[in-house]
Amino acid sequence: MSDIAKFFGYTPLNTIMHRLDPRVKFLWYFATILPAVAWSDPLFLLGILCIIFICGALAKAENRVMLKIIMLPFPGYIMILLYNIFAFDFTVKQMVPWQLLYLGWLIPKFNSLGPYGHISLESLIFTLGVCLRLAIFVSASRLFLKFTSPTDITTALSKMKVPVEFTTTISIAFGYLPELARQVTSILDAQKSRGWRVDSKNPLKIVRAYIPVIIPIVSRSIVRSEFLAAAIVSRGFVAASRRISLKETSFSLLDYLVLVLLLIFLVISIIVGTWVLNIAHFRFTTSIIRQLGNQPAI
Amino acid sequence: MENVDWTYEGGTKKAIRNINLKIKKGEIAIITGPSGAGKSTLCYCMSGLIPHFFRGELRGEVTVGGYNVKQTSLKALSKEVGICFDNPSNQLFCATVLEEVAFGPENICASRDEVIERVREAIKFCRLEEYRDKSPHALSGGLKQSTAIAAILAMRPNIFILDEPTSNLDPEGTELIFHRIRELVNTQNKTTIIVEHKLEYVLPFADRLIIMSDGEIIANGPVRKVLAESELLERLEISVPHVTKLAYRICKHLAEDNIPITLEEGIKLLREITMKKTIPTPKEHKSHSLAEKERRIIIKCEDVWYEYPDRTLALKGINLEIEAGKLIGIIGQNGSGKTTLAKLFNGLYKPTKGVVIVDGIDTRTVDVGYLARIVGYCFQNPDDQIFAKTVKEEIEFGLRNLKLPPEEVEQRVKKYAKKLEIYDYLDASPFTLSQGLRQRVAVASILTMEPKILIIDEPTTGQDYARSKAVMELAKALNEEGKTVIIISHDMNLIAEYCDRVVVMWNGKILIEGTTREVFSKPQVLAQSSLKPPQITQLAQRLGFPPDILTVDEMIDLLDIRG
Repeated sequence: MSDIAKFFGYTPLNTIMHRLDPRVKFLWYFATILPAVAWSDPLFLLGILCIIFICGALAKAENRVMLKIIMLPFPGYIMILLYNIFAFDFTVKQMVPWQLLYLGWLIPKFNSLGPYGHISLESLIFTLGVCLRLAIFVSASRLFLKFTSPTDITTALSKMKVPVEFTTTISIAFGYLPELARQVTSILDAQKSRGWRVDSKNPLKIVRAYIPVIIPIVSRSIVRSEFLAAAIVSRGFVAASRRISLKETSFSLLDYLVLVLLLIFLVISIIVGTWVLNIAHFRFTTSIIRQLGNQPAI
Repeated sequence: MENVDWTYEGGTKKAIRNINLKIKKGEIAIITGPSGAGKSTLCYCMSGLIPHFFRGELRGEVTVGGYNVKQTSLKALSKEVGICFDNPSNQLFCATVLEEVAFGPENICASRDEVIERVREAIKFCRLEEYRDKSPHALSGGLKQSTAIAAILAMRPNIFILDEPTSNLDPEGTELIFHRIRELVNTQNKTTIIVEHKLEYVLPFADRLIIMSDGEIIANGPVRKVLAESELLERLEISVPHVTKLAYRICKHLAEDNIPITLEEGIKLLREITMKKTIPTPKEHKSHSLAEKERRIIIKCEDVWYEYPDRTLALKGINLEIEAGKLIGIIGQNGSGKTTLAKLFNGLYKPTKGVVIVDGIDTRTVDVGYLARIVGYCFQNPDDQIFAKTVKEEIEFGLRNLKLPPEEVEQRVKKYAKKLEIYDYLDASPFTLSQGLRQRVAVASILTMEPKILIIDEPTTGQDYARSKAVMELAKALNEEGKTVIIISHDMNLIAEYCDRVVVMWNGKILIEGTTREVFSKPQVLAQSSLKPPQITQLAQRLGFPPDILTVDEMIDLLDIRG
């Protein structure tokens, strides 16, 4: 199977993670994503990332692929780093109750110019936290799609009273991914065989150069969607009608157990993170490091 | 169907017209005819997709299982008629086989238990138990189509419509699907309508044969009665079984009941004829390729291995020499490594181990763009490459990529457009052309680069006999001009008729390689990769004639009897 499908497609397996009720899967997804959005402490977020990897192991996801996924937004990480080196002093600095520990300058003083890009311990740790947020977001999303079949998503959504046209559309869109990936590969091969290549660095020219690939992808997808629609209606599908679901959506003992665990995790992360030790704020890790380096952190 | 006409919205011509057709309950009807004859449209009418899904103008009355199609909803009709389309990938949309099969029942059943029961039964019938939880897209073509059939079966319709169910499958998948269809026909006792070009497979169990051409039914009746109209069938280039074709040629006045369809019937007929005379000793077959003037190796593979990025080992130690100026056929099941091997020839893939030398160049040292001048690669589906506003731009694309001067581009475009008879369409949009013309545009766009070697990937898949033959004639003509032509195909009959040499791939290796006669005279070796020689070759082998008869004409020459 092609890389795109391997990265984002559903893998039918019979693991604990796969067997969960779709609604619990949704809760799992939000329980990993929400703290990541809310908090910024690298140690805390690293903990969540570890939990994702453990769940990944339970769902038999290859660690190698998981790591690749995490490195996917690498250019994003660099952007975040650069942004924080230049902008931290004007934005997040107010949240730090102590003097920043400056480590150096990105662009040193030259004659009367500079220096620019003040690098502080705090900005680096904050950057690490933000990058980890991104990593959690991509890895959790990927894992979620790996152990949640498109039909599971549909079932969960329809249980949440989302209209059937919408849920079926989502399900088919996900089901189309592997086939689309195959088609893209085939089209790329066909055009490469006619000497097509992208050798420009100008973004406008690159977009133009991709026209011979994009047009066949679109035209073939349109043709295919017509056939798919014909297949769907000829199997008795009518919009806005009641469907019986093959899949039982009653909670098993395992579902209740995981549900309780996830809820406890969410509550604890909110309570502890906010009021008790502040461990979810990036100052937590910073203060540990500062104390190790005998710097006051109050 | 009474006086049925249908015109698609925006179309100027009736897609089908004057259709009067009655199919009895429990009957097995085969519909055949050239591409564009309206066969699929007829199926859409019977399944209610016309007029409920496709837009256009319907005249006349269509009644299916007692329901008037115009007045019955698609949902109600879907319980009565099930339709399975030609390309399995275009009709599967769920994440697992189980969900795919359940989709229909989920729409029409009243209870969950009923859904479970229907799904279980359909999966069991199509022997898909072990693939239940797999993604249908990860299965082989044959299993994909089996899933599509199971999905229809689970709807428990009284009428099955199968629209070219094997046109996109390899020989193994084709066998599998026809096996399922035979079981379906024998056990379910349901009305079955099959659109098919491979008559050899379906005629033995069919009751009725319907021939369509240009939107009309031009022959309709019991199978042998229709087959008796040999002139009509030959004029329309319908690919009747070899034994039937042979019978047409050697016995001009054969009684309807004696027209052979199966290999066994062919054997019986020939035994009767040859009993009266002795079979002359075989003549030396003359090679229909270029004379053996010089032996020059143009492609050489030395211990070539190829592993995909996902670690699938596609080729395992290929050693192969291809002589310049030959017409080579590569055959084998899907996944046997045929296409991978061909993509190594044009540099799309580089060997993970070993060397591929094309026209003296190690493919690892140059990129695809450079090799495009030497090796032209025509992909199976022209729609994978067509993108331009006009046919002219489409044909120019490769030349522009090679950065040739404009005068040269102009001159070559004209030359090849004339050669492929698409000169009149140069200013037309390639998207508006028929499938056959689009394929010629795709071939022209490769030929303009004037490659020494031309690879044509599955030109016969999803095509009717006449069109497949046209592609092979073109390949032959190009070959006679001196090009080395490599054809990847599942059509044994055409490979046998046109190719000088054949490479049989199996499980990433070359199972056997040699002249077409050598390869097809070894049915036991071919069987290892689930391939069979053409029916006429099998006939010769069963009768103890020379085992390397490849075409009906050769058989007639051998028997030295006509009329």
